[in-house]
Amino acid sequence: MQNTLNNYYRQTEDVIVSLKPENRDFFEKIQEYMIFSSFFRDEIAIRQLILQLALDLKAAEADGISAVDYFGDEPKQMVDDLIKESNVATKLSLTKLLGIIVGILCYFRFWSDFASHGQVTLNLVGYLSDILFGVLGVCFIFFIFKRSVYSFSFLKNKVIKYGSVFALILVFIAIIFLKIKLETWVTGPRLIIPTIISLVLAAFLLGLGVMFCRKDQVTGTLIVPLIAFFLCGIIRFSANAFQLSNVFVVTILPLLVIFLGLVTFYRQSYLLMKKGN
Amino acid sequence: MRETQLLKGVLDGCVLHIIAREEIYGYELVQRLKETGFTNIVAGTVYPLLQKLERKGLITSRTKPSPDGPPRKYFQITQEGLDFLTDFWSEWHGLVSKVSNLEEDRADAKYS
Repeated sequence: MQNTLNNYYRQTEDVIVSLKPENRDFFEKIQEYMIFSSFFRDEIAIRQLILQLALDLKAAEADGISAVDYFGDEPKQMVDDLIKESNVATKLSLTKLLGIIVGILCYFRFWSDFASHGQVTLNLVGYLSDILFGVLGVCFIFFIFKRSVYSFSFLKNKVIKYGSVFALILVFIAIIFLKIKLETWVTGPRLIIPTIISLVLAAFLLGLGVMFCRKDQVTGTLIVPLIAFFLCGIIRFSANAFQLSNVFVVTILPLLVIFLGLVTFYRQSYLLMKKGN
Repeated sequence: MRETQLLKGVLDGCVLHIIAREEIYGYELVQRLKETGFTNIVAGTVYPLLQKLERKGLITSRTKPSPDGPPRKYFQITQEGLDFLTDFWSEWHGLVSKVSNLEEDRADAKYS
């Protein structure tokens, strides 16, 4: 499935690159809006449709027809209608998608716990709130991205633009605050895993994560931050084992490791984006 | 009155008729409609319609290799589509006849 998707993606990109700039801009908006609108739709069918639209636009361009003359001046309406008529993703692929999101959220919760305490605590409420707020967050981000393609033309006004960014940051902070409060109000079962088993589990999950991330250049950028989280956990574990309370070991060194991990992640992502352009 | 409003419901039959005559892909279909006289038709109207007809099982599609690049998606009519088309033409003739009956009185009407 991933190969088919990659194939469609590559072929579409080849067509888009060959379009005239004004037609390319018009089509890229259609593509973006279509992708953000089709979260629960059959991904392969949507990708195939985007490729066919691009090929048709290329043919129209060869006949001297512009993108706006070909598709009409209501591309958003066209995409909304297309999505309405497209097939919903199968239950299996929806379950897989949800499983991947939940898996990633739990994976990061695990690393956050391990890096902070050098030991794994399975906090049911913590994991559930991560899943709930994480899924809501993903949906919210998709909604904002979708709306940003056609509906936010009023954002050309700088005051409204920065005001909206500020409002979004406030909403984000409010959600995090609510999440933290929820975890203090509601207490559920906690399972503290012995340190040695925590270490083995962390090493195993790190290996699994690295193996998965190596498959792709984009996910490959996550390898260094993962190792940084693991090292932080080891530092915490050592500090606990040797009863160290030195500020450098307990606070500064883990922060430095995380900081270096994140800097490497941003640098690799930036280089990758530059290479892509 | 805008042509698009009159076309609602009729365009399904027109598109099916073109597809019944030949296996065709999106761009060709839009051009064929324009050649027929639907000069105001845009792809933004045709693509969702194709999607709807395919979902209803009135047309199917298959990809065919193209000399110009990636394979193209061609549409063909199904048996259900042919049955729909037969009904469409009979309903269309009935409608035209009713509207024509009204038009015959047009000379006596208070408008030109």
